[in-house]
Amino acid sequence: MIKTRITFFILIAICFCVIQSGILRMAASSHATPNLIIILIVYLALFHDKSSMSFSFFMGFYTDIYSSSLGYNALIYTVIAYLLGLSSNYIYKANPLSQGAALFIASSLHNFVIHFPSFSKSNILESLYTTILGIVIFFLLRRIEKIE
Amino acid sequence: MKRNYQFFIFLALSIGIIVLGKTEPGRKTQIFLAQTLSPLQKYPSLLSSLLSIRKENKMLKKELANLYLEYSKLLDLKYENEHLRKLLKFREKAPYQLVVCEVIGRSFDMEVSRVLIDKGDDASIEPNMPCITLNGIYGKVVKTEPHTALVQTIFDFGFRVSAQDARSNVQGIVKWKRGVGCILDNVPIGADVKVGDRIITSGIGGIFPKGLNIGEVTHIEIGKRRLFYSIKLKPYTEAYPSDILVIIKEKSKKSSVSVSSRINVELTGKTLNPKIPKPKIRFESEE
Repeated sequence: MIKTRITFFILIAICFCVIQSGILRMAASSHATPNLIIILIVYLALFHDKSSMSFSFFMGFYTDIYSSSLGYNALIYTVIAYLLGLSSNYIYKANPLSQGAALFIASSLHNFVIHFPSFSKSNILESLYTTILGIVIFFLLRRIEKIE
Repeated sequence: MKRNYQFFIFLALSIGIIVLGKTEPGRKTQIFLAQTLSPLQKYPSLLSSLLSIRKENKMLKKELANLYLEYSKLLDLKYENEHLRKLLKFREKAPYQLVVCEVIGRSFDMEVSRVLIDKGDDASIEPNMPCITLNGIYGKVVKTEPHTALVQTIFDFGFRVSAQDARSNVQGIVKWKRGVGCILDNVPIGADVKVGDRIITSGIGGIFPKGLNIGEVTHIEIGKRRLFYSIKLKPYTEAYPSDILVIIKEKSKKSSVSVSSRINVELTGKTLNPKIPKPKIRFESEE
């Protein structure tokens, strides 16, 4: 059961990385696009805390391979997963509002660190897109996990 | 407790990667990994491009017809120019060679700051060679490997190119500002720049030849310090133009190649003759 779940999330992680790096960026009309990787990291940190940090690290590392500075995404994603994992016991995870707040904070923190010091409107817009899409994806992933 | 232990391991690994990433072997490893994992980016891109291929094909055929007409005119002008140059004993400018290459990896940034191409030392690509698309400049080569090269695009905040207004010859520096976009910097207040002006490379700096398209002026306002204009540009080239880019190589100055064979296009390692035969263009019936 655990192995099936891990395989499922590995497949989801690969799909999200591929969509994020290929199709989503191309389809984006503006500079802001939702961050699927953050969505998966927040989901894992809230609902499957044990495996969230390793997933975050490797997805961050994959992102880093195509960025100009190696290691920063791996670091920030790991820190986000750790902090969210710590706070996951104190928030009502089933509520879409608290899920949205966690997504917005995580996305904003990531954008702030990666684009420091030039944090702009498009970064806030990206956090908003991530939050809205994230709530929908959270709902779908929860449904799939219940079916399992 | 176990969780904290796991966190510190990943934290240490991340910091190790950051430190390693600053060194030469680290960068080489990054390029190797990018090259190895490039199919993960390439095939989904192909899938999405397949969806628009029919429409693009139609548009390209029309564009080809227009270009052929333009090419015929330019050919006449070229012979005329060649003749005049001989008459006036003009010194021949350094000729260029164009190397067509394919993008095999892109950065995840919103503006695509770097791309990895499939030609490197094997195609005599060197750092600081200009990289263009059909619409205008796209960036420059910053690092080469035996079979790949890394291109810094105009969407990278560290990219600079000396530019000028094609209409008024007012000069400035084009760069990318995060959250703002492409800007023309260092243009003093009072300079003759208008919205809609075409900005081209000025040739100063020695990397980009003069006259390559960069972008169009979209917005002009007085800068915060009231010394320079703050000019926004819309680059002619897009962050995701296509998977095909062109590198401009300067030929050896000793070469005595005639003007007509100056521009060679190297495609899959073969050099094509520039005497392009008249294309057979068929338009599909409008749907």
